[in-house]
Amino acid sequence: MEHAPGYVLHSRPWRETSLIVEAFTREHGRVGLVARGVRRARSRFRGLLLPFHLLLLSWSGRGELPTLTGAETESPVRMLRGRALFSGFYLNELLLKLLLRNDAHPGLFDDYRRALAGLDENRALDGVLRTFEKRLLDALGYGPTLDRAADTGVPVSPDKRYRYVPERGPVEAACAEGGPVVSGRTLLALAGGRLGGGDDRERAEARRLMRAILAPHLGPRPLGSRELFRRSPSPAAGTTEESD
Amino acid sequence: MADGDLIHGLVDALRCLPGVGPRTAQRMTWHLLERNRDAGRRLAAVLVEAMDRVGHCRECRTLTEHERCSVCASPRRDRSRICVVENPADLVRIETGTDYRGVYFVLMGNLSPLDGIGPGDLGLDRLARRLEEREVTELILATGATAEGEATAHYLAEMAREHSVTATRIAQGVPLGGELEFVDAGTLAHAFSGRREVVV
Repeated sequence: MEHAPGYVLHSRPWRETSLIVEAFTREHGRVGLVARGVRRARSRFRGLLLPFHLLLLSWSGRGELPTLTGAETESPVRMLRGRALFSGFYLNELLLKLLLRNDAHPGLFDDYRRALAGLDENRALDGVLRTFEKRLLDALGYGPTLDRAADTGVPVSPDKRYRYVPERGPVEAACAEGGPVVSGRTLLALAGGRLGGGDDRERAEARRLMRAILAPHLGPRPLGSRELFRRSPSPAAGTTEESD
Repeated sequence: MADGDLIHGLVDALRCLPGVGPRTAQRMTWHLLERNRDAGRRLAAVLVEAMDRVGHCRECRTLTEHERCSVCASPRRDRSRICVVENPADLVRIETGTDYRGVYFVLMGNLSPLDGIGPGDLGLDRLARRLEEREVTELILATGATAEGEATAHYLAEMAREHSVTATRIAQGVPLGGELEFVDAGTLAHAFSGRREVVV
């Protein structure tokens, strides 16, 4: 494969001087690559195989782990900073948990690229993250119905409150079990792709709702990147500790 | 026990060392057995003792056989500055390569959310207690220039701010004696954005 646009999602040391790189490429989806010798001081890839930066990746070989043969960049490498960096880790963790290897999602790749640009420009993190979460769920076919109550089939009304039951949808009935209680307004905003706006309370509600929708797909282990935000109330991913 | 089991056992055991593959392990084994049994015995004895007795410094978490490491125990070190590094090797590098006279905190890793390494794994509660003691005025962040190192630095900077402690980050840029031609683009971009006024 030659010059495939892609991002490094994560890399981990392998043997003495090598890395195993998990990359998200536009045309081939998530791929695992062995980058031989790149931890040596003189490696030409050093300083390049960093996350959050668009690379042109080349690799050769078949099987589960082909060998990285080239990595180029067309723009100067910029590292995300601060909470934008934490949010970037969160996006990468979602992709690593939810994407299978060699399953291409060009549209999602473009969404990811836009999300990173949004983080880099320090746009409101909530909007960037909720938009990407929604696109990710839609791309994987997990996109939930949000504009109709699951129990009655009646269109969601902005002024009513609903309980979001994971893998079922919003229900009108007052049941004790299930996910968070959210306003119809939040459900409709999410359904319509108008995300991350509103006041603090509405943003917290959207965040909680997305967290509940994602939860069944992420498995029981908590996301490591959410821990980074624990320190103080934050606008970003899964930071709310409150429950309903 | 068949003849050779002990020799194979030694070859296998030596392979736990970094950079030692089967051939090197074999060479080491022949060398010790044929030429230098005394050194081999000394190695075995000191290895056992080090494995049993070396622990972590109560204050900075670096490796030491004492309760406090020599830096933390020294009365001549400036305790108002703490330099945070990822591992004991980085501490040694700063000790030998700079004239830093403050103390350290060794994380024994960095925040690596995608590997499941969080704040609790790096002893940051211990660092927070030291910041609370009000003795510290500057927290120097000397973590690596990787995404994880940056995330760690930012997390620590937020922690420092909560305790009204100044956080500083070590500079990144053109290596000493290096020509721009051989500096990678990312480092050059960092060096450029971190440029300083030249005082003449």
